[in-house]
Amino acid sequence: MKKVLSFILGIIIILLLAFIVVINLPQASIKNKAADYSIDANELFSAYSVNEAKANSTYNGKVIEVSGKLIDISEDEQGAPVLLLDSGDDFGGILCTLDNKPKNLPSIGQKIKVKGQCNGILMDVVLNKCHIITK
Amino acid sequence: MHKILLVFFFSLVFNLAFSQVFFTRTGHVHVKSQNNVKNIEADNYQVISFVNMETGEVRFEGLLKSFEFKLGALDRVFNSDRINVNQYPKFRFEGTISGLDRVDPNRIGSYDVEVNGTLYLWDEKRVTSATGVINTDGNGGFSANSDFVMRIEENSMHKLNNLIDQKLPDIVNLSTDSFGVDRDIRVSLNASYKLRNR
Repeated sequence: MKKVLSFILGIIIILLLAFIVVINLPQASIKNKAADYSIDANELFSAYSVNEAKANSTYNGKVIEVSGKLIDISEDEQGAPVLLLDSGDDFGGILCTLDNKPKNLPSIGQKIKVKGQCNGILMDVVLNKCHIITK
Repeated sequence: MHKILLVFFFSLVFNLAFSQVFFTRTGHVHVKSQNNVKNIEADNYQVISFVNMETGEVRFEGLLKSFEFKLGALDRVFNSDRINVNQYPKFRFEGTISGLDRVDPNRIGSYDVEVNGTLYLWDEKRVTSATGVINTDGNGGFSANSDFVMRIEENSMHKLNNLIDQKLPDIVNLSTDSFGVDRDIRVSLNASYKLRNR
């Protein structure tokens, strides 16, 4: 009887620990993930402009490295830096929300490379959880 | 001479119409769903929105993949290849704001407004109305906030339960009722607008 009780108690403790681990897992990060694609900002925007469905199936949810000229820096509603890369289009660019605030942000006009998760296109092609690779 | 006047007239009309459109690339949507285990909360900080101050038209558009779940495990599943949202990658809201004629972005103020419109999510569209608050900053910009409740329809709960049945082994008999999932989803919207200049 004692063995059965110990076994049940052990199972309960394991389940409880597993629950605590799952509940406290940090959010997904792409920092240490290898990029699935490396592409120029103009090319990426053009792919979405020409055929959004095809570009969605290729890039959505993937980690990509994008190179382009920085044309705007802003902050979102939680204070995270948001970089806009030139796409060669008058109204849309590549929007990159950074995962954390770097000590020094690149300057407007600089050519930079950013790694992030591609989520699709609104007016801009949208990348989230981004990290600056080179500036 | 006629041509010059015509071009001048159209550029004036265009500028007037264009100057009334306020815009943001970084609107925020927060959603919260309650259940017996742990509340599910998610944020999307990459919502674009336009407000036409002349006509009161408002539009929000966002990507489902841009939602970040507070619960890390759920965030990891949602951001993995297992969740494919390519068939309906976006949600959008199109509607009108009543009472915008009182709002002057060049003066500091706070205004209660009413929003009516249609929310498009997955393959469904829902007529939605909500109240909101517009706070003007006195420098030609303003922020807008609105909270409302979105009720999950019965057929959507069936779809969700069918999905759970498909994904989990037969021996695990779980449904939305097992977790006590509340059919009301609380949604908060907030965005800071500037005149559209790009």
